[in-house]
Amino acid sequence: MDFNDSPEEAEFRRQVRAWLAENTSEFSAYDYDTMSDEEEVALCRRWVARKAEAGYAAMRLPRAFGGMDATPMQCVIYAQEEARYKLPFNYFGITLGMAVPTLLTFASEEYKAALLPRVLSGEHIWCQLFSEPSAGSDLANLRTRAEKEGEEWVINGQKVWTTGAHLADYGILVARSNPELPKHKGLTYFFLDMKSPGVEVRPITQIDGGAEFNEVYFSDVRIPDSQRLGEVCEGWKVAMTTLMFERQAAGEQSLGLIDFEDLFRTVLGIDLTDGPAIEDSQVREKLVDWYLIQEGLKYFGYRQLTALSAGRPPGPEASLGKLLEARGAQAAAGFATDLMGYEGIIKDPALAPCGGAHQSAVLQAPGIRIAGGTDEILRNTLAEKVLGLPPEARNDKALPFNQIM
Amino acid sequence: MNFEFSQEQILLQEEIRRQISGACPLERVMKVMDGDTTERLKIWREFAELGYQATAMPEDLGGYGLGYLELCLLAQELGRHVVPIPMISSIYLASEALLLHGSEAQKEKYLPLIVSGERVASLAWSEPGRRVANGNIATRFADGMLSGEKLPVADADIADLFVVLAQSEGQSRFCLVDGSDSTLATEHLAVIDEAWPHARLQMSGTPAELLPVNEVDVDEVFYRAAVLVAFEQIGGAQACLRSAIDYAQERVVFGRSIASFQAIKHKLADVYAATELALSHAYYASWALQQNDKSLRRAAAGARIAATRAYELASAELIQVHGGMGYTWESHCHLFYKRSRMLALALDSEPTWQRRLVEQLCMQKEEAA
Ligand SMILES: Cc1cc2nc3c(=O)[nH]c(=O)nc-3n(C[C@H](O)[C@H](O)[C@H](O)COP(=O)(O)OP(=O)(O)OC[C@H]3O[C@@H](n4cnc5c(N)ncnc54)[C@H](O)[C@@H]3O)c2cc1C
Repeated sequence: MDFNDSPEEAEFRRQVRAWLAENTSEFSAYDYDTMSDEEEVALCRRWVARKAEAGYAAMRLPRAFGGMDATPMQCVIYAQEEARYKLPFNYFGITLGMAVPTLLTFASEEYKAALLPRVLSGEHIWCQLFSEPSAGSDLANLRTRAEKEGEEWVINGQKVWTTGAHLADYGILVARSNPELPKHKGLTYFFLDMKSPGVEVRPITQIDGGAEFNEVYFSDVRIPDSQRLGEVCEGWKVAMTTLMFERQAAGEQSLGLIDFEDLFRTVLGIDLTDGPAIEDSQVREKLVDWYLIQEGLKYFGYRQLTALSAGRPPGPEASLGKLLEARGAQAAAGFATDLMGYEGIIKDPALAPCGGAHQSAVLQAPGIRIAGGTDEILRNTLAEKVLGLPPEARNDKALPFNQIM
Repeated sequence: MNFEFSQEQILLQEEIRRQISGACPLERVMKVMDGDTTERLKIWREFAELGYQATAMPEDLGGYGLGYLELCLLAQELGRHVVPIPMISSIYLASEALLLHGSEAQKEKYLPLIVSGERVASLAWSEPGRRVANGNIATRFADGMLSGEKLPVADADIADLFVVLAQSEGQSRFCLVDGSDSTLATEHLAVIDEAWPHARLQMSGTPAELLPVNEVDVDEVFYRAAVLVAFEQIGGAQACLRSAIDYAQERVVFGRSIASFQAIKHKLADVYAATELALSHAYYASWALQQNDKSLRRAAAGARIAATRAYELASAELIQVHGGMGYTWESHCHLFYKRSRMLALALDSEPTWQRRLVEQLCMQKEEAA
């Protein structure tokens, strides 16, 4: 047990710090709270390209692909140090956390050589085309069809909730190639050019007024068979690998809904009718609630990391992170706005404390409790995969898919 | 960085777990709960033979000098088995107070006897009707004598040495009192957990030795003990979860195992999440304790609160999952439920620790600024 850096880690941290100190200044000068999405995306692309020059954009990748063969610990050290700076929102989260490692595992050398550099130059954003109107928690219930015609696949159907599809150049896609097989067995995994004829992206407005996710329609979209990842009808396995990469990436940083320091600063700046808020025991209790989650998950992440470093893959127990954090952040955001009294309704970044971070969290937390596995699904996962309790009844699991549609 | 106990430490913990489940199964704890007054001292002595009390004590004071990480793992196992011995009173509190504040002569005189199991010590700090945390202490030390009342005092029925928190010339200090002194009066108290006896302790002109002044204040011992108690609480919470899972898989109603009901699964998933969160805080705190890191107090308070919450949740849901059976004296559920509530209060309750944690966070913020 040693929470201090080893000499090599300290040296790596020193390098990272020096690099960040030299390279962040032009990015930290902006006011991201009030900037338009387009401007922020453009800055994010430049920031990714800048990081890629030094190997920090996709650290885990082999050097040949622009990474630095980083250990999980080095990724965390980088994330910790980067978190000290004000930088553009990371529009490359799905790209680098899910799509790139999946490509690296399953794509041909030619595609890797052609596509990975375009990501690292900040040019290509990828999206994840998994969920559909009939398939969210029950992902294997998806209906988008993939039919083989010669050396091509023809895709028809609809995806939904696709984050960043409106920005994306490429997407990873799971579709049904054989509806006569049971639901998990008839799926095949592809990647596709989002500019392909027949792809239509329609933004969906979220409760916070933003439109980061989309509906995506496919009408006779053609994908070459060479863009298939994994074997035909083994798409479920590949999709599970992608989700494993997602867990791995998630372990390295918090969801960023509410930063404890922001909440603490807000509390310290507030006077209630009977004195400073921090002297009120109920206030302290709620402040402590969020501290315990954020700080505890940091240490939990370190424990996961030690397991990773020892060669153990991230297991289902990692599900508890998002479960605790999203619910906790929602409660903390409610609490923070409560403290502000009536003024707590104001989300204008120029007026609200911390640039309206807490009001934003009120509006974003419900989405985080759903995205990437709902609270209920995460609890099922913990109960079944970690605690060994019986699985939910799945009456349709063994039936041919075309009999349950 | 490395956030795991070492292979040797884990093997040691497994060995301790085997020893305790053999030597002190829950049936033996039940005997204590049922009123057997001799059993606790017997277990105390048996465990001294196994060397438990000596774990972190320096070798020149009769210990093994292993360290606090090992002591934390021992604490987790004691908690898992709700072992009814005065480990908190004697080792985490009284011995720590002596180690922190005692003179060399005092340490040499008392500590070897405590770790060998010959003596049982207890820290008497709480007083009736007041919160002593802020130096608001009525018990006085003057002219080599103590007068005042302490309540509740853990394990006073078997303790033969008391470390007493008192005021001396306007300062909070620890004093040593021989348990057999005729001016001491103890009175047994009815408490929530029958397996952990407590008493009222009255001193009037009781001869006492003052522990020397030290740079660290008297609170230090509570922060250090909080880390060890957090491991006990987490061990208890883990035992509750295990027992709830086992029972849920056995019990069939409406033609199916109750483990297949989502309400039960989600409850247990929440217990698991709370326990792992607490364990993560406790890992960090164990390291801070072992290193005497400057973050010790913050880490200890965080671990204390997270572990208290995890054990409270786990032990309450343990009874819930067991249904009516869980509410019987005969079932083991109440051993955990009662111990959890007692531990939640034993080093003072959560609001005090919340205040301490926030104090530490404020101090950290000032230092950073
Ligand atoms: C902000 C946001 C971004 C997203 N981005 C993407 C993306 O980029 N790509 C992508 O593919 N998808 C994305 N999603 C989709 C997301 O993965 C799904 O919304 C999620 O898996 C839930 O599926 P659903 O919406 O169909 O809800 P449903 O599965 O219909 O769930 C409805 C309710 O039923 C509950 N429920 C369902 N099954 C069970 C069960 N077995 N036991 C108990 N309760 C159950 C759920 O917990 C939920 O409360 C995003 C979603 C959000 C909110």
